[in-house]
Amino acid sequence: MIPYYTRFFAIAFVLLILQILVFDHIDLFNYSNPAIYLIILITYRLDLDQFGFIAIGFFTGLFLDLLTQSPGAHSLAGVSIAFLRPAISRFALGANFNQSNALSESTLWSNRMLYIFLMIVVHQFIFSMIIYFNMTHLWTIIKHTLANTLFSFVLITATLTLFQRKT
Amino acid sequence: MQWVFNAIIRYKNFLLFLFLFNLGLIISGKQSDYHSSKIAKTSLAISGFIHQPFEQLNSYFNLVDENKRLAKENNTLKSLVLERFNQAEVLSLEEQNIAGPQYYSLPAKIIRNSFTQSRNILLIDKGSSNSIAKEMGVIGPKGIIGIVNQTSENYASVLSILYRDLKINAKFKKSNIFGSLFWLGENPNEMQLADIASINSVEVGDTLVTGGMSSYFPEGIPIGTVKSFELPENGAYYDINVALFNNMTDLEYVYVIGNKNRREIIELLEREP
Repeated sequence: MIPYYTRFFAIAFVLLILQILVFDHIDLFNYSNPAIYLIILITYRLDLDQFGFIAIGFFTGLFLDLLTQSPGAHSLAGVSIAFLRPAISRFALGANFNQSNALSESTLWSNRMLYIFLMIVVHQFIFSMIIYFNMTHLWTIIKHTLANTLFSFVLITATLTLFQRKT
Repeated sequence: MQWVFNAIIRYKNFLLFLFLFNLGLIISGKQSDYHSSKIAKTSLAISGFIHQPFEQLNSYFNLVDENKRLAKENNTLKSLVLERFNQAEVLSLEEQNIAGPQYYSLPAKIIRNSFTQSRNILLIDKGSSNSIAKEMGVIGPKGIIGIVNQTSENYASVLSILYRDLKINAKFKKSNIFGSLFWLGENPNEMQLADIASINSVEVGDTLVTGGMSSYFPEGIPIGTVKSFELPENGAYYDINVALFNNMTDLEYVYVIGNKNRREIIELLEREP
């Protein structure tokens, strides 16, 4: 049995590399790129301490920022989503929001989808806000957020379903 | 003491979040000029908002002194106008209207002064909504004060001439010898003048004015007088200490100088290979 953190960091590393090399170059309709690396932040076990999770959120973002020359948007969005995750999971997953099996079959399918969707939409909104950094472009920010969210949502749910472990 | 630790442990997640978020903002500023100027603008707006009420209260107590100073300045201006008036009679009408004045001034008030650091930045209570823009010159009643660095809607920050690394083009009033004026970061009433070759004659008490070599200031704005100078052994240039006319520690009302042809000048300079 591989320890949780070893497996987690290995998967995170692979996802980040995939994000930079593949998913940042999709440019669907010349407009939208999926943020597949959000799987790291979505599937991090909900029962573990949030303190470490905030740091993980920041450093995944920082890793992407440094390799894509983006102006700190990934790290800021990552750290924010890590901080906000308990609120989102409590809202979406209900009573067992901080159980280790909260994302397995034990939770309703609709609740899990809501959780994933909220995580992505909040992250993408913060991300676009920092990229544009100007409230006069609010409409563009919203359009970008929605397009990226839908694309990411489809890919992330598909990936999670494919790699779901049988219980 | 105990409760401090308790509070830190209790809110450790939030504190970590704040810390990392600020770190992220710093990275933003470092990575992208757009973000750094945006962040600087926001902080300027906040700091102007905080300093203004205190400054308003303070200026109330200085009204008597300020009135005297304004009366004196008015007097000087009046004499200048009269001088101009006499000249105008001599010139023909066509000669007077060759081109409108190249420079114009906008009054502003200092709301935060600073002179103790090695890089001093002042705040004034006029901003982009008062048509103040980056890199305009700022002068006081007696001489130059600085250059506008950043503007928000209602405030602007000004690089004081007491700012290390800032060099200002200056010349002697009596001759047209140019040098560059800079501050060493010690005495707020004293600056250094460099690049004056030893073949020129310098005397204590010589007046220095701005040279017209930069587009920030019009030519001939007073700066200060030569306080002392020395010629280093085997040196080709003088080391000159300049006493400023303006008391940089006591500033209240200033004028921002705009140059109508500035854009043209900059474009021309950029076009040079």
